[in-house]
Amino acid sequence: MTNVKNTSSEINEIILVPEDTRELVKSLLSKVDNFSLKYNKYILTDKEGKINKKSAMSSSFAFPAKLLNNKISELEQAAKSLFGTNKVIFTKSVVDKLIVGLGTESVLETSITLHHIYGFPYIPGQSIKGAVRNYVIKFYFDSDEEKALTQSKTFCLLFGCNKETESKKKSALNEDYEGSVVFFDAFPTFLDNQVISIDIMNPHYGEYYQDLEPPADYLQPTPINFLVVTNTDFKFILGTYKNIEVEWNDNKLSLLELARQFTEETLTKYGIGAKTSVGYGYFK
Amino acid sequence: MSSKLDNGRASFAFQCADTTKQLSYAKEYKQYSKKLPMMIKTNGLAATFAFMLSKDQNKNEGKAYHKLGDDILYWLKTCNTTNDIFQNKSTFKDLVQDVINLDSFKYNLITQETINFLLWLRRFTEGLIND
Repeated sequence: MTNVKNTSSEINEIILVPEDTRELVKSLLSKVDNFSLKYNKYILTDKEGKINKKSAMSSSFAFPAKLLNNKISELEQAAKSLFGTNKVIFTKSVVDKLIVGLGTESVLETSITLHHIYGFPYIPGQSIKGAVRNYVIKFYFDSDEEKALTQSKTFCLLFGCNKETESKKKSALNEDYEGSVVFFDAFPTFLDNQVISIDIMNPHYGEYYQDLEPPADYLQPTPINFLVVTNTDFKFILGTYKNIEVEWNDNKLSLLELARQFTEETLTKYGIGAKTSVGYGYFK
Repeated sequence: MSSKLDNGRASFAFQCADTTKQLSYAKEYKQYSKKLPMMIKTNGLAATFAFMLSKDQNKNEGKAYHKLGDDILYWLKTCNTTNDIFQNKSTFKDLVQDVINLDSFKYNLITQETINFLLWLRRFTEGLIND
């Protein structure tokens, strides 16, 4: 009888991978320490054949600390050999919660950016550069990208520019230019099983947003879970090949120093990742 | 090897986009045809099919996903790299079960074929279906 029971539970909960992989996964699952693989690829169905989001959300994880430390020192070493002294390294801690990559396509409806090889949560360099660039445009150039590109040489030196803007105006440098500052991926300095936790958003007026119903309290809330990073610090690394002196607000300083200031301002005042308007993604 | 553009993927994808454009859920179809390749890369083919199947067929969202599923399946049954795997047996409803009973080699083949097909489909939905 126990046999029959086992078979029926197998039918109910299917691991959504090909047959030979399924056999391997069954015997090796407890040894998997890549959280990215476990979270994104180990997808089960529930009894009705739907994706079992609960099991994916609550999948346990343990990050190998040695790998993380190696990765961080590898990055610092790379920065040193590429840029010598023209680099800055600083650490900032997450104020409340951080969620990068919430909107990435996933069968779980919500997602989180995890390093493909190591499985750690991290902030990709291009994501940091993009946030900083947006922050600078918003707070120093009245949210006008074209104004930044056409009027500020410093802005072009820092982030790069095309010779002409989209509306065919000449950029401040009047040439195609690759931004001089390199933004590295930011990795957490510390990871344990408290660092990733399950959070919830709970829209109450879903049918109203779809223009189906007036907004009213008889509509049902829809709880949606997602993962967040919390209780950790991130290490940020910036570097530049040639140290250019620039002028900003009547101060003379190096481009790298300016980039560091902008990045710190962005992290503390503007936030990074998703849901910054409700307090996620701030650092101190 | 067929002499058609991209082994006939392009012409079938064009037909799919063209027949969908006047349907009520054309907008969703367009939107999801762009999302699917990424989803397949993140979560795998079987999980993506299970996700598509789980959508409620009474809503536009579900209708679009099911139409996409039918189109993908029809293509997998006809194209000459994968037609011997399904032998015209599968329906979209059984597709998840059928796909996870394959070995990794065939599973990979089907994954790649699906992505290649979707890359054409997203181009044509972009051009043929208005928002």
